[in-house]
Amino acid sequence: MEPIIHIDGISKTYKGAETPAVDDITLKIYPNEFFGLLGPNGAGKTTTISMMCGYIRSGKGKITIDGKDISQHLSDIKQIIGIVPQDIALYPSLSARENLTFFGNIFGMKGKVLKNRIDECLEKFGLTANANKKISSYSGGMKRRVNLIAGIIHQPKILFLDEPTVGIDVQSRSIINEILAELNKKETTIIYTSHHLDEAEKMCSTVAVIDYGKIIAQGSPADLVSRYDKCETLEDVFLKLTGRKLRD
Amino acid sequence: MLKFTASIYKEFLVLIRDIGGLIVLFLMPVSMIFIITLVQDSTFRSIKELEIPLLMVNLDHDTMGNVLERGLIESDFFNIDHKMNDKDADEASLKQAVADGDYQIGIVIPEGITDSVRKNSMYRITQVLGEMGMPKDDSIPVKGVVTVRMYFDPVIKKSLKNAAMATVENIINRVEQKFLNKTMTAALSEFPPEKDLPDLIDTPTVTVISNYASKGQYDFVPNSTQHNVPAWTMFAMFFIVIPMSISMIKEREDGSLFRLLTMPGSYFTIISGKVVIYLMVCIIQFILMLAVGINLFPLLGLPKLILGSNIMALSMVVISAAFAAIGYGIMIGSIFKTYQQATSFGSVSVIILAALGGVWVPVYLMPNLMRTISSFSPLNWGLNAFYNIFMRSASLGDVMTDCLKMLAFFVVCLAIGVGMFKIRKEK
Repeated sequence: MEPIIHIDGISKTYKGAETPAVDDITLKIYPNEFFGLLGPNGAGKTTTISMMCGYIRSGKGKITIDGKDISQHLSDIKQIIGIVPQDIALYPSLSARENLTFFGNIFGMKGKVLKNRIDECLEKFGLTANANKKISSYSGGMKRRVNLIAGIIHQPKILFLDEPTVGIDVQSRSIINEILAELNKKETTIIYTSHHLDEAEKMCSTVAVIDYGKIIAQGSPADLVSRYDKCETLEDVFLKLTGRKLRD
Repeated sequence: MLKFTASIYKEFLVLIRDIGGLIVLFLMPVSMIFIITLVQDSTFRSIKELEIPLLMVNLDHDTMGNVLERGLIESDFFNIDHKMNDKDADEASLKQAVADGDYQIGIVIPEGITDSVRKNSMYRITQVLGEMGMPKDDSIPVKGVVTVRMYFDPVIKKSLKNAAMATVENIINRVEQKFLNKTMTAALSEFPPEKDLPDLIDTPTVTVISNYASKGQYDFVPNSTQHNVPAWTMFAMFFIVIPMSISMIKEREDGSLFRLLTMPGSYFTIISGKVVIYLMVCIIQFILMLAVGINLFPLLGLPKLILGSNIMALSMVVISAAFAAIGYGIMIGSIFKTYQQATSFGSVSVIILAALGGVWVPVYLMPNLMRTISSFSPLNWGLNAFYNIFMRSASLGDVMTDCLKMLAFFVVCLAIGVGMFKIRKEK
């Protein structure tokens, strides 16, 4: 099977930095995979995702998405990917419906199709009653849910999530994870970063551990747990690979 | 097109829900235009309309004193008093009252000034006639110079002081001339043939008429409205830098920009939404300022704004000025990392550009160095163009240079903004 995302030897060194944020990474992500990119703070997860979705250019190497070179077909690729950033990337003075209408329009959606899709998503995420309230009046969990809807409103083929459940209550996290699992079932390829390793272990079909800009391990969670001695969970593997030293 | 209209609508919603931003954009400039125009109105009015308070001590009670007093009253420049606390003022109390700021001007007409002028005139005429071989009367005594003393409030404007002195000197000269004429007529009337000299001598042969030069059909009179409406409109337009830079930084900080840039469409689609909305803001600001100048100012006793006839040129200036302001906003929003930096630098820099541009003090009153610096301020280009239309009936061609400068400023600022955005993205 052809990978839907093929990263071949990409590197990125930010201006003024002495060490690369991403250092010669090669990855293959296959269609319908739930792929977890795990690593400590500053490991290079966000930079890798930013390069995969075309926000920043890699210093060297090549990224192919859905068979297309990202450096040449970025506008086509943007149509099939969805991003859920770590931050609440919404307009606080706009309501959930207004935010989603705007992002839907940017994907070329309009009229009844867009309205129905927004209604469907709001219903699914339990936000219908508050759809017309300003985002600034929402709780953290509600904001996270709208943040996720904005990334999936156009039903992307590939969904990038950068710590989508950070700082929210158990209920919101649960509903988000349920919906992600459902999307993955409906053949959406998901690339996900998180510090919730128990969550990643449960949800991901494949994980890659990244540290200091390099992929240091890759495989299914069960495979990784079995690969390393005295490791019973993905968290044990993670700590074994990345150490206990605090990161900035 | 859908992305473009969606961006515009989103910017519109963000803007109308930002109450602070709306106050900065609309309420603040309207308040400023009212306050500044009312404050500056008196400086633009002719002295005639001001009626400067003047305290007079007339110790002469003869022709010179009476004519001087009547002349000052008839000039309509002054509001004349003789008494203080129901008592006739003397020189000491007059000086004190002016020093206290109760009066801006005090005049003391000394005792015997008429007698002195009369005798001096007779002396001069008989001396001149004597030189011409006519009988000379050496019994007429020569009098020394008599001084009319004027006191001024130290805070009085120099131009007002000069105008008051010129008025008094003019009346004194006329009276002296009359005395000379009368004396000469009397002396010459002793010799045939008798002529009606006084009428001939008193009739002016040269008069001066003042006009304001204007190219068009309107006779513009510089006033506080004609100055302040364009000046504060330019200032208000440039104040979009505050909400605009905040909106750009917010979008960058909260990740919305990241999300948008990973969606179909370019950075220019995102920026163009802002450009269109803030262009509308600037146009509305301008219309609002015009409406205030035309409809509300006259209700407050302020002069009504006269627009001139060249609407095409006016529209071009408004659009160019708006683009210059938008470009500056984009540049500030791209260069600075935080709202605090952007708002403090943005507001202070606009105030500096406004001061340099002649919003507060007209450029022609600045020293040479400042005049040169001023010619680099986009507010000066806009203000010049507005003045040319509002006060000189300029055509589109006349304002084109300033418009092109402002549009070039927009392009340069936009290029810097986009460059900064790219640098920041790669950092």
